[in-house]
Amino acid sequence: MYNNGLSYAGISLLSLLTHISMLAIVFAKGNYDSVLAPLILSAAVLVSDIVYFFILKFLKQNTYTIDILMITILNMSLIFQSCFGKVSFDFKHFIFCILAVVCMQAGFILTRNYDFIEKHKYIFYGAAGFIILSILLLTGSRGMWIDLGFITIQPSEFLKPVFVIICATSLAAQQKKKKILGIKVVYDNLIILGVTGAILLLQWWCRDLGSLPTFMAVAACAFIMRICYPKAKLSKKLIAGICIAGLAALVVALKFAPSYVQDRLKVDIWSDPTGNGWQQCQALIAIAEGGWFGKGPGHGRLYKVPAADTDIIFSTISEEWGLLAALLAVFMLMLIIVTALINTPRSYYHTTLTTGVAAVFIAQSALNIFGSCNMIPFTGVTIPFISKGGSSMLACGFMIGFLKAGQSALFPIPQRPDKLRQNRRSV
Amino acid sequence: MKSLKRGSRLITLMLLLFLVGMGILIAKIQSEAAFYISNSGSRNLGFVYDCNGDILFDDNAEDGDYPAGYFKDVGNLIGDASGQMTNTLVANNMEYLSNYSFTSGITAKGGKAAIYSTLNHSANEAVYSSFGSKNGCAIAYNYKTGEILVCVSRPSVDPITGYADLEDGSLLCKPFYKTVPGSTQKISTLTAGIETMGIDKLMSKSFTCDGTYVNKTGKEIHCHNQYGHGTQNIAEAFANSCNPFFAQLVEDNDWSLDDIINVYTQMGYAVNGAESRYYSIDGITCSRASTDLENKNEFNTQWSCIGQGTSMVSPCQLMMWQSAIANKTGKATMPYLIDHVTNVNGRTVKSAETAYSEKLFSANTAAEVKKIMLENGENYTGKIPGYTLGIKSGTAQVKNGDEENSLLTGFVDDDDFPIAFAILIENKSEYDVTTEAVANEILSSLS
Amino acid sequence: MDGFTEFLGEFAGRLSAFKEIITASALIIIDICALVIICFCSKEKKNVQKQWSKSARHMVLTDAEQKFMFTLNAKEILMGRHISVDLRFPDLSVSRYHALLTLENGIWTLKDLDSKSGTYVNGQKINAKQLHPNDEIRIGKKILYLRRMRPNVQ
Repeated sequence: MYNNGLSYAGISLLSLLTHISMLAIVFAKGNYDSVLAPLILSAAVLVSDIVYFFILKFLKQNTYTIDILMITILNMSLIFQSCFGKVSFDFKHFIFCILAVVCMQAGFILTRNYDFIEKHKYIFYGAAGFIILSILLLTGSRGMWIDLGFITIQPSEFLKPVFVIICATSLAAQQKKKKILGIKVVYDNLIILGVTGAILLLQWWCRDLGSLPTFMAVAACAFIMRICYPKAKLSKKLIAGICIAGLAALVVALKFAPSYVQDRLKVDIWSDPTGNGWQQCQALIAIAEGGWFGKGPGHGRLYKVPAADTDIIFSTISEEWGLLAALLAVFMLMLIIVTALINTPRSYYHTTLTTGVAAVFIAQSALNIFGSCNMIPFTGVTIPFISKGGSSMLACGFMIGFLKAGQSALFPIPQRPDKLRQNRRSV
Repeated sequence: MKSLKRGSRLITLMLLLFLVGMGILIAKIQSEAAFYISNSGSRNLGFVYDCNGDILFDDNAEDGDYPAGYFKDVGNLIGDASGQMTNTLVANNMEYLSNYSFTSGITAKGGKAAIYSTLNHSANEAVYSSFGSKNGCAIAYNYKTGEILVCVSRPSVDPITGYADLEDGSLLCKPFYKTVPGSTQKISTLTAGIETMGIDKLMSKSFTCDGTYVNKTGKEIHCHNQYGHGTQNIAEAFANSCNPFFAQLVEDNDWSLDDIINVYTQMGYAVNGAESRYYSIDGITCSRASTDLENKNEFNTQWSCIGQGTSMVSPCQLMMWQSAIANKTGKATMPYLIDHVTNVNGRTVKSAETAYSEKLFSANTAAEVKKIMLENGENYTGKIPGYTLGIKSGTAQVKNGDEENSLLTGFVDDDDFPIAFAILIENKSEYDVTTEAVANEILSSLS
Repeated sequence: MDGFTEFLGEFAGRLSAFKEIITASALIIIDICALVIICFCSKEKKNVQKQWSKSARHMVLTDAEQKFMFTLNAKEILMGRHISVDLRFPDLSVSRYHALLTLENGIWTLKDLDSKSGTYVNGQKINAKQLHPNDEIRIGKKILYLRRMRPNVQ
């Protein structure tokens, strides 16, 4: 562990204690046949915790809060997912949790050094194009999944971290203006516009309008951080103009939306409980039945509803563990974003990266939670880390790696001739 | 650095929007949780009690838990949660019985949600059996406070034994449905007369009845007494329930058809196809009267003012008019069935309050009608002894003249025993139970 | 208020069950965990600040009298007349986006952004130049010095 004067023993213990108390709830209120099931779960959770904290000691970073938050959230999610219907152990989810942590480290190492990214930006454009092509060609019948037999991959999930990296920029890059048609533009910004348009069309073609708001949120953040940048104090007229334009575009889009979207928008879920909107009905009923403190892990009924562990996960947790627990889980997720607010990055590049990641997380969580509770039309997106879904967990792990890079950025200092020792410091 | 701060501000904005959304979500769930539960399959409902603590509804009742026929007298009034009857107390007040609060989630057992009604179950049972083998209905309430004390409708259903092989009409609580009023309609015509002409002018009118009267359009109005009643004034004709007198009164030139229509409309009739309206008695819908009045000189219109024609009134509304008369205010006391409601924790969440309708007729009119009805009531001291009553009886021809219903409506003029009632017996016959006997039973079991 | 006291009463009533104690304590522990993490994050921020200063070689920009001091706190610092820049000179001789100061491998580099009046280091007009401590920078009419500020000197 890097010697930064702070002792992480206390906080590691607290994280461990969180998991232990949740496991205590499972033991006390859970629905299990033999005590072996929760024991296996507890063993997996505690062992993975301890191994993780042990491995953390060998990493040289400046900040470890995100890592500790990650393991807390991932194991919480594992405990939630393992208890649906009956206490057991969700091995697949466990593996993906471990892979998510690995991806986090990979994302961290990738984006620590901006100069590297700058030189190899074209690789990322190529990657985005590759993913889009694979969606167009490989997914079956306008779906979003590639079925490889033993696992299914959702390539649009991987498009998100790539898009976030593409959207990141530094001040220097923004100043490289070139003249096109008499207007000074930055090439980068045009490419972003193009990529955004391509993704929009792709989502439209694939009829997966659920992820569209997420990408639009990232694009909007990129827009604000890049093009609005020359006018820092956004004049009120401009803000008003943009908002009105955005709303008008939304209204027009909704009016001309294809029929299945119109159906989803106009459904009154209570008047036809067995048709469109059945999942939302069941979700809301489950939340109401759970109350603030829940029925107890494993005692819920909602797990039988399709998409109980992905699209309406908030209600499933609410039913079994209570609304308070579900809110706390979402709160912990938002806490990762808050750490980026407390410990701000030092370079504009990491700042834009952070805003992109925050946009993805907040947009996806909002779409999922508000959609499943009938405040906005129902979409099929997942809450990062808490929902099940391999591709989603890996992509979100990557993006948390970007956040970490913002906090523990690497500004390498080359060997100076007047210094005898090698200075290679992580900052 | 300003540029770096922009990122922080953007993230803060997004987080704040999300937080606001979550806040709205939690508020929405808190307020709508009971509605979601009512749509779910699981259910834990509390009891309905009468004014003395008798159970009138038990969701978990099985055969043998209660004496046989225990729920029969209130079956189509209180109802049950099976969904077979829609115009019952339970069906329209399920949310009060639901043992659910969002803080504790679904409570398996031990919830204290309950409806305490105003009904008097022992009186109700007594009145129910006093009908003998006849069908009909009876409703009585306290006209000072509005508490419904007795409400019986026969035939009825016992929810425990089920809904198979029921007589026609078992699922209806008849006091709340319109029926032919028979001569009780004369109360409305009398009220219209006093309201329009004033008591003095009305009392000065006298018409002769000799058994049959040929009206101005040439049709015959028959009196139930074929020899006629001779010359009468309004009070005598009211007591005699004389049809020709009232027909001539309707034709009289001292008032117009519009006068009658105005008073009827104010009293609550839907006249000449106007929109039908309803009273809601704690969720139960009670029809309001309707009639057609086209030409004063014409047969149908006259009969509508006398007691047949197209006039339809519900026994409950008849009873409400009695309260307007007995209280001498011209405003009816609104009846209610729920005294108070307790929630799952035993806390009282709703308490009844006495309310009055808008003015149906003037207070002076009410006082005069009361006098005339009390005069009529003196003729019943033999059949219903022991009380000072204002009364009107009626006979209604239904089913194209095949059957006759017997009606009785009135009030007790006693501030310590302020009961107003309306009774209907279907298919009357001389040798069977009379409305007066039922009235006796009501008053004796309530006192 | 009524509902709240009812909620508390009900909550206290249910607390008598052991299971509820476990649930309540788990929720409280999660809250404490979150709070401690936030505290830790603030402490780490101070550490990172120190590390950054070290890597930036504690450079500040001052003017001749050492009245004005601007700590170089970010990897890229934009200078000019526009409102959105990091270091602002409301002087008409300075262009809207005048110069960009970047930190690369521990060395600060000053780059001119096509400004009208040009950027001068030690009297010489430059396009992009690496800076050393005590270099004099002229932007428009404004003169700044790049100095190293030791932390314990403050």
